[in-house]
Parts: sequence; structure tokens; C-alpha cells
Amino acid sequence: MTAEPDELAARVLRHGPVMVVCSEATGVVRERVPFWVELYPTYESRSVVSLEGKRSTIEEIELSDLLAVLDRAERLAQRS
Amino acid sequence: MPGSPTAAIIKHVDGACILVASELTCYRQALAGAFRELRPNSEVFEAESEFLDQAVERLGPDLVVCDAVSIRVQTETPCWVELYADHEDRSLVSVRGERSIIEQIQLADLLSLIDRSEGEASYPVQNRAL
Repeated sequence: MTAEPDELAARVLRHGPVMVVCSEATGVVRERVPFWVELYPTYESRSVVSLEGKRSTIEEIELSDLLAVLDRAERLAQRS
Repeated sequence: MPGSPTAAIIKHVDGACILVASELTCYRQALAGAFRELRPNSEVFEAESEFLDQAVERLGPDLVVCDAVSIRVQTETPCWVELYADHEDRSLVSVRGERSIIEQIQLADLLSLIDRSEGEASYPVQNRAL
């Protein structure tokens, strides 16, 4: 599903997604979503990835990186 | 010729030649992937923004989707889209020189442009530089 930035927090609270890809990770995303990617938050090449609370910065993130995060999120969803 | 190191792959393409150029790699790859999936008859190429003009010269695309349109794109490409100009919601579209602005452009708008651009290749480019 997709959401406008201003409805992101409400959507997270309503649907409880395992993974969020967004332009700005809100407090709700950071606290409640196990896997999230903040994609190009400053319109530059840097993105932030959080894997179950472990954050890292990726320069020049690629689609394959997002798919790898998605694979991990799917595995978590299957376990729970 | 047996043993020749040269090989040729000739691919028949019914659809448009599309060039996606963005400095944000993930967006570029996602857009190109969506175009390949949703418009399989089209031929989709990717380029980094700094190589946009070279790619236009080499490929002669029917449609360019890019971050920042160049003079070469404006003058040599039948259809082009400048996505989110100045990082705002506004995108600039040109179809054979007829320009329009789309607020909150969606994937469906881009697919519609691909469909239109398939019929534009035989027309001369009438775009002018901004």
C-alpha cells in the first residue's frame, strides 16, 4: 500500500506494517516498524536503513538493497 | 562465419524507446523496472543524470523521464518528463513541444505518456529550449 507523508503515522498505527519505505521516518515509524528505509531524506544520495532497530546509512542505495530488506521483513512476518 | 568472435542480437521492439535518467539510483531503477514490467513491448534504458545527453545522442529515445531536462532533451526528444522539478510536487511534461505541468504526477500518468510516445516517434521534434 502507499500513503501520503502526512498520513504515514496513522497508516502505521492502523495496519502495523513490517516494513516501511518513506522519505522521512516519523517517530511512529521508528518506534513501531521493525524494518524501515528512509529514502533520500534530503534529496541526496544518502538513505537510512533500520533492520530491527539496527540502523545504518547507505550511500547510493539500489533497488536490490530494498528487495533485500523486503526479504528479511518477509521472513520476520512468516515467523510471527 | 564459424569461429567468429562477433555476435549480433537483433531484438524486435514494438513499443517506445524510453530513457530514465535520475541521480537517485533507487528511484531510477524502480521506475525503469515498473516500465519494463507494465509496458513489456517498450525498450527501457537507464542513465545517470550526468550522462543524460550522451544517452540521448546514442539511443534517440522516444521518451525521456529525468530529474532535470537538458537542452538536448528539449530539442531532440519527442516526449519528455522532468520529474519533481526543484524537489516539488510539480512535474513538467512535453509531448511534441506541447508542454504542461502535472501536480502530484502518478505512475499512471507516466504509463499514459509511454503509450502516447509510441505514436510520436515518426513525427519531427518541435520542442524549443526553455
